[in-house]
Amino acid sequence: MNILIRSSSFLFPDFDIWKNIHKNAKFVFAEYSDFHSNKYYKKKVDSEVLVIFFKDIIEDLDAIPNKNIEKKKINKLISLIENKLKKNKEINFILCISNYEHSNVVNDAKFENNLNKLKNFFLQKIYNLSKKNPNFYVVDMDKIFSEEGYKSCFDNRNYYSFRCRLSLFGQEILIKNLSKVFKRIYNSNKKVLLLDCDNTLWGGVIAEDGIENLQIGQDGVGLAYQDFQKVIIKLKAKGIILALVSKNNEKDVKNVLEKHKSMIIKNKDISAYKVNWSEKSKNIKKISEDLFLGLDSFVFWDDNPIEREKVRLKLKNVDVIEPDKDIANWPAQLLKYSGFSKFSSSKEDFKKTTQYKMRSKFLEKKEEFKDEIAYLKKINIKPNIIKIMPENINRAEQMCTKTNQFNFTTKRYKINDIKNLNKNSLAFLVELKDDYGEHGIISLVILKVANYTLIVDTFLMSCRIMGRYLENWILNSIKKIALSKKCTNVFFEFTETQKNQVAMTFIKENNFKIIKSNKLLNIKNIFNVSKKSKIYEYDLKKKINFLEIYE
Amino acid sequence: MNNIEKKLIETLKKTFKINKIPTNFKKLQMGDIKKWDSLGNYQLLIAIEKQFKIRFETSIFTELKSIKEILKAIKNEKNFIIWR
Repeated sequence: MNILIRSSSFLFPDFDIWKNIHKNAKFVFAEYSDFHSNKYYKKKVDSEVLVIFFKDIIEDLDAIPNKNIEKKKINKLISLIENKLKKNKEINFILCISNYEHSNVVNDAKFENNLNKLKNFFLQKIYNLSKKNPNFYVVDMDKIFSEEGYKSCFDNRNYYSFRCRLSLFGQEILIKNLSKVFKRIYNSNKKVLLLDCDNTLWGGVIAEDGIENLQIGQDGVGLAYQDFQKVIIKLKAKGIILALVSKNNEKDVKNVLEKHKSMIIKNKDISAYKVNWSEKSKNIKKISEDLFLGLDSFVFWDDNPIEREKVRLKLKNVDVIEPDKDIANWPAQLLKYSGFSKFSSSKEDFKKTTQYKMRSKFLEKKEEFKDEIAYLKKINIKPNIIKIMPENINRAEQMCTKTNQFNFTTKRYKINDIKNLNKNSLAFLVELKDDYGEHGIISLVILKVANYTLIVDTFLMSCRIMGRYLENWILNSIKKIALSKKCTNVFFEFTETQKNQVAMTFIKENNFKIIKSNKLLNIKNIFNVSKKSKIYEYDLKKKINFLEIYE
Repeated sequence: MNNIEKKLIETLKKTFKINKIPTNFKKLQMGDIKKWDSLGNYQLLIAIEKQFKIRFETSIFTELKSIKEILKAIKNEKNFIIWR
């Protein structure tokens, strides 16, 4: 990854700390204050960081009579950025700005600081740009420097010696924060918060102190624990899934969450309980399997250092938080943690807790039942085929981008692709409901037909409804379509990825046959299939299992 | 060679990305090592500040250009600070 750094004043380019931004990054530093020249684009640039100190571009505002000149300078800067965004849609732009000026409390007592006014004017326009351009990000350096103290982040000596505004420490802080932004540009956010109970959600131990003596809500640590729970609930509202992983009696914990008046977190907020006496790492693995979420989506918060160390050793991809020694700092620590944060959120995110809760309830009951099929028959599963229409095409695109596990070809179609495919081939969606609720649209299938042959171009299904043999029902629907079109052959395109093992298992369980040699080339030519894909044949005469669930 | 000198050699190596320091180490000055130009000099001084937990004021900072001067400044307790 190539990163171009442009700054209004000098930065230390040769320090190793820059590597912390991203492990595969290579850096090019433009000459300082050069925001224009195109020579740096000769080599491919993936990301461009623009570091702007207002002091470098604005004169002393109080000293000049005509402030409009300064506004013009700002407008020029904005149009420069606008132009960059227009010309380079492929580059990620990260704009870092600071308007820091030493404060003079008396001067600022009556009137708003001119530099402040200008920055606010600038920020407003800049955030308008970032709303419109998904590849444009803003970093307010003043916020991150104030957190650490301006005095240690800026260094006038460095400025007068070699035109560098920042101290080494200040630059380290900037890099540390930039790395968080880069991390989120290139990696998805964490999705599950795993919480211990005793001395994590409240002070004290249920089994020893009893419900009435837990520290929660009272002045002191009790209030801190309560605020910590408030932050957790905020995360939940943003679509983060909450799970309890605690060595306790499940009944006791559920009782505390339900009955204790000072608890902010209630049972309805928790999507999965692993409250038992087994190893936490085992419990976490189970949650990851149940929810079809990779361990790298998990964050673990536990007051006990031994439990943390064990999870760290066993599950390297789980982000194990080192909580502050003082509980009073926990709410702020969790608020500041950027692992869960992302640049935008969709309506779907807000439904997540309910969806995953439906899933864990479904699995819990399924395990209790001895006869799986009888259980599935009992819960009234009702799938329904629907056409792709303007009101659901967004969901179709979203499934193309997000579905990894049960996805035969992992083709990341955009809305326009889907529109075209919908015109020229057979495409449909499947929605589902059962006793656990309305699951909405959870599957997309795209079929192409030619010469009495049907090929499945896309077959994907959301993982949160797995375990119902719905994939078999969909296969049967594809079979029906094939027969109605008088097709004698049915083929499935399949592209192996690191994540679609589930789809492969389905192929094996249903005895699909792999196509080789000449026939393969022939099919690939007719349907324009990529070289990387494999083709499997489904024998129309073979019986499909478990359809009785849907009778 | 004392402790301060050993630490200083490490900082030199790290800053200028070299493996060996010439034997006449104490006589080295700006320009004697490939990357030790005026900018490299500032970079070296800032790395030294971090390594030895000291701070050079502007007037000293802009004057230090040889190992001899730097060693003297490191030892001068006027430059000791309580570093964060």
